[in-house]
Amino acid sequence: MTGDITLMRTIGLMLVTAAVLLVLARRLAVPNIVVYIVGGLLLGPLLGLIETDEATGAADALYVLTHVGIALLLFLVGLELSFDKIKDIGKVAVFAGVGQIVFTAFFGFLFAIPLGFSVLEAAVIAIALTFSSTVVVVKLLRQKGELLSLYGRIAVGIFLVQDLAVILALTLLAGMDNVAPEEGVGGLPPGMLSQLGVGLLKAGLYMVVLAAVALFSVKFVMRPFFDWAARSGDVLLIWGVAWCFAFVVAAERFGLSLELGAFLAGVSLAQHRSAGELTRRLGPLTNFFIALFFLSLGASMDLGEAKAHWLAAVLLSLFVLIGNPLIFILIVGRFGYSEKTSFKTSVTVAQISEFSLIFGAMAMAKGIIDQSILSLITVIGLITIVGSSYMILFNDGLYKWCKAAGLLRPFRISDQEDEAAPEISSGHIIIVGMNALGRGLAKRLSEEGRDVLAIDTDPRKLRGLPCRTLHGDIEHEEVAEEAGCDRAAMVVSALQIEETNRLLAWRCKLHKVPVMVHAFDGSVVADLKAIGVDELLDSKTLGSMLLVTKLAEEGVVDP
Amino acid sequence: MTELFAIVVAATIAIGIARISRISPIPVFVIAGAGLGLLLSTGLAEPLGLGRAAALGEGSLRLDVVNLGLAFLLFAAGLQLDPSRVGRQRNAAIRVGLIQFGVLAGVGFLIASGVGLEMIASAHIALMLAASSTIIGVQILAQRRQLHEPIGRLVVGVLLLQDLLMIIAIGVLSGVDDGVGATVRAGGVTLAMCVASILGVRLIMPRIISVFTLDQETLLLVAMAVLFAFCGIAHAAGLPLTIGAFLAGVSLSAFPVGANIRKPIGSVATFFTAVFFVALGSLLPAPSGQSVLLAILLGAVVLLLTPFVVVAASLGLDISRRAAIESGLMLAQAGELALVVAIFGYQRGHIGDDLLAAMAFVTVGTMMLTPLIATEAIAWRILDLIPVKLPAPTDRKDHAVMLGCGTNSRVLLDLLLLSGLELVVIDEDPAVAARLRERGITVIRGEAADPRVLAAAGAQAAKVVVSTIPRPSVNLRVLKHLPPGRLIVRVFEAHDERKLRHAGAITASEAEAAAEEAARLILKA
Repeated sequence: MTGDITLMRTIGLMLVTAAVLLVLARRLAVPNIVVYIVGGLLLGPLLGLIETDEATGAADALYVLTHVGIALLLFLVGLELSFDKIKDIGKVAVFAGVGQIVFTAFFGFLFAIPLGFSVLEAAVIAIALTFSSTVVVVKLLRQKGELLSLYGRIAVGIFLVQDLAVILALTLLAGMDNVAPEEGVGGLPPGMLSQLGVGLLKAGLYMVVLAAVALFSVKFVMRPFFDWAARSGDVLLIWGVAWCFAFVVAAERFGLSLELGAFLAGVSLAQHRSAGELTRRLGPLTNFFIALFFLSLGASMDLGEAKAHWLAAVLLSLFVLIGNPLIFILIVGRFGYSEKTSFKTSVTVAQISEFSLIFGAMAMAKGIIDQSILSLITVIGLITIVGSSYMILFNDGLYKWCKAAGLLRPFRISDQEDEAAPEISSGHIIIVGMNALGRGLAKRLSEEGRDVLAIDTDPRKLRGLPCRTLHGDIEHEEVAEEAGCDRAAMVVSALQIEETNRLLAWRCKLHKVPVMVHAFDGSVVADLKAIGVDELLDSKTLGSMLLVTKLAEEGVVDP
Repeated sequence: MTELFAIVVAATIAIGIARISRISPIPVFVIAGAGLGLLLSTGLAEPLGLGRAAALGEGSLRLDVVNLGLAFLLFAAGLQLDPSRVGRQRNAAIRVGLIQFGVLAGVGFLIASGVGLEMIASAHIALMLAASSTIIGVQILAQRRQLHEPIGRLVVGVLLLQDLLMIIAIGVLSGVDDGVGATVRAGGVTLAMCVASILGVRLIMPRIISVFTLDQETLLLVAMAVLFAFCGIAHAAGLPLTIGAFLAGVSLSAFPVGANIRKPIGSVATFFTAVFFVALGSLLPAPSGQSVLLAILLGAVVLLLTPFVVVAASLGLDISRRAAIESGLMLAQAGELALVVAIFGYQRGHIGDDLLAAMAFVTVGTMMLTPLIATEAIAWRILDLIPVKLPAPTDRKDHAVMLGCGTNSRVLLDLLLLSGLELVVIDEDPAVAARLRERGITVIRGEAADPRVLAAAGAQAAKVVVSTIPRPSVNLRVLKHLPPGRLIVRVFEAHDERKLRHAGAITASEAEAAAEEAARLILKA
């Protein structure tokens, strides 16, 4: 146990920088991802405050932590996308995913040659441009709450197909000098095609095995265990993380991607009824790790030698930002999706991926490209990730603008909406805490025909109620949002937990929603009154009055 | 990733076992970690891809994780310690906290010097015994829904005070190598940081949150930035990072900031706490026979001495004896800051492998035993041993006895007074007793469930015994000493109501009454 604090120092600098920038950028509607990458750039290449040299121990630990972030993010995506929700988009995902890779690589290559790159350099650039970033897009879709929308699901499907392609490309590149080290720069090693075939077969086989294990293990073996774990938030959290890691480690052993393993782990648990609660518990942990991921991505960017290729950087970035969506809109539109869905799906691929940088770095290590090309790819990555973040965040406005400008007419896609917006409930009565008071009240109000939503952290307490129920901890803001706390006619807390009641009352007053709180002890009254709670339920005094009645009923005293 | 996976698997098993056996997960994490460490050091885990060299070499992931985990752990502990939670128990908490800290530290120092340890090592041992565990205390209180009860507020107050004293003491220790001047300076810097963090609680943070309406992700990042900024300041001042982490937690603990970040931070802290304790367990050196003996001796001192010190310290305060005993049992363990002291002393070379293992052993052992010892049954057992001064049993008959008479039972008191029945009130609270006596009401001060007290009130021969005591377990205890159908009692939960009825009580459901009232108010609106 040494006093080495390199990792703490690095993480600390990153988080403080990120927090300051986040607060400063608050009014500018800058996507968090952009803030993180800029923060990383600031700390790494610009000020040189942190080193992300792989040689130091801290970088190693940081590497693991940031990858935990990616794994958890994809795990969450899987948790939200149960198998039922993705089976209808399988076909379009495969065709669009593969189609985009082929087209982008082809056109990217054609585009790069006249810019003065050699054939090999152009090939590396073209391949680097085909990858889109799952992490960036999924993070933004979650932030927008549109992961479950039709275009969100198609996008996730496509990205997972692409991830498989990434793995193949990286494996192939890594295998190149193993096969023929003495052939030198970039000569196609013999047996490359058969190697590709074997690789594809192997990856496919392992994926099927892993997917089968994922889908059947929860259904037939693990369900009672997770039922039990769901009764305590902490147990659920740790078990969920372990489940995710187990698939990640297995996937890595099989030579599949960490993303795919984590995603399958998530999909397998998505069938479980506590998936929502697990998602909410993991949310903050994931945000933390993902912030570190983007910060260290920014810190490790080496832009130094890109000046020589500035024109190429601009043109290729435009190709990714505009050309990629164009290719895509053509493919997705062919599958009968509406103009809006096709457009929004297409916008998601307008960036290159962190894997593009890794791919570039590997190519440089093999001597195929030099540092200036890697810097070029990095600059394209920076421009397109930042640019597409804005495009995705404001995709509705962008769509309207493109439509009004007549830019979408040549594609001749129907502009009928694919899906209606989900109904939002309002005017309901939310009751938190299904103890005897909560249950009694829920029953009474339901009998009177009121729309009641009952919430509890223990799924067992929600059984047998005559109203809508939600399993979750109301202290999580996501639960309050899902319950529609800000649109409720009244929020009632039956809980006997001082802190939770205070927080709930405070949030309700922030949204100007009437709130009734269980004042279960005299000592909690003052704080609740200070918040401005509308009604206090003094169960002790009410109980005393009931005692008075009982005493009379028993004939102990005269009424 | 594989190494972290191994840690998480160990944590998964540990938290499952802890949940089934109802003990705190922390000690189980450490034990699971020790098991993992054994697997790694013997090379048994090599087929799983966990090499021996990678496991023990410098730069191992577990070393880094220990620092990070400890920071999050103490941050989360600090977040629990909102000074306003202490409420009216402030003076009691200060007195009990100071006496417990002083006596336990003194005894620890004497024992350590007695077995021949150097002065500086003895000081570490003294500090280890001096403060109880915030995590365990708050966890048990939350589980039993007692945070708002006087005992809950007292325990939180004691923990807050002791933790602050510990922080200052660790600060002082950090300057001890460099002479008297440095020691004083280190103590001063620590004190200044404590003051700054408490001012942060009261003045700055509530304004920041009300000025910027931050989304959850930003709020989380800002909270973490505060954590690391405090750590950085502590480090720059030559203090351990962990002091900064704890004080950062305290500075963010006040409502509404604390309430808003507790859940998001909680899930990060849960993960890192688990990882920290497992990693710590896997890195601990094996204790020698001698250090095990010392650990057992010190553990016994904490477990046996603390309750008595707390009870003695609370004599003459507005605390019931039962509450004092229960608090004492709940505070009888070495806490997470003891681990900080141990790791810190180890890093500075003040204590060696053997003593580190012993200190970890004491902490883990006492933390593990607390949930088994801090039970009502044991509190009653101790209470029975304490003599009470009571009026002689009377031959009253057909009177009314009222158990507990707080402000929310005024209606009931008025009714009983009007009924014409002779009334005897039993209440432990001296303030309540004085107020009632002023009105000419007969009051017996004592625990309602103590058979000696019930006898003094003539409860056996009463026409009716009315209880307003909130805890069902106390009412069940009272029922053992009364004929069936005699006790009439308020109760909240349905399952408690069933138990009480089964034991022969007439029940009035608070939940039912409140649900009816709530429904009436809502339907009217």
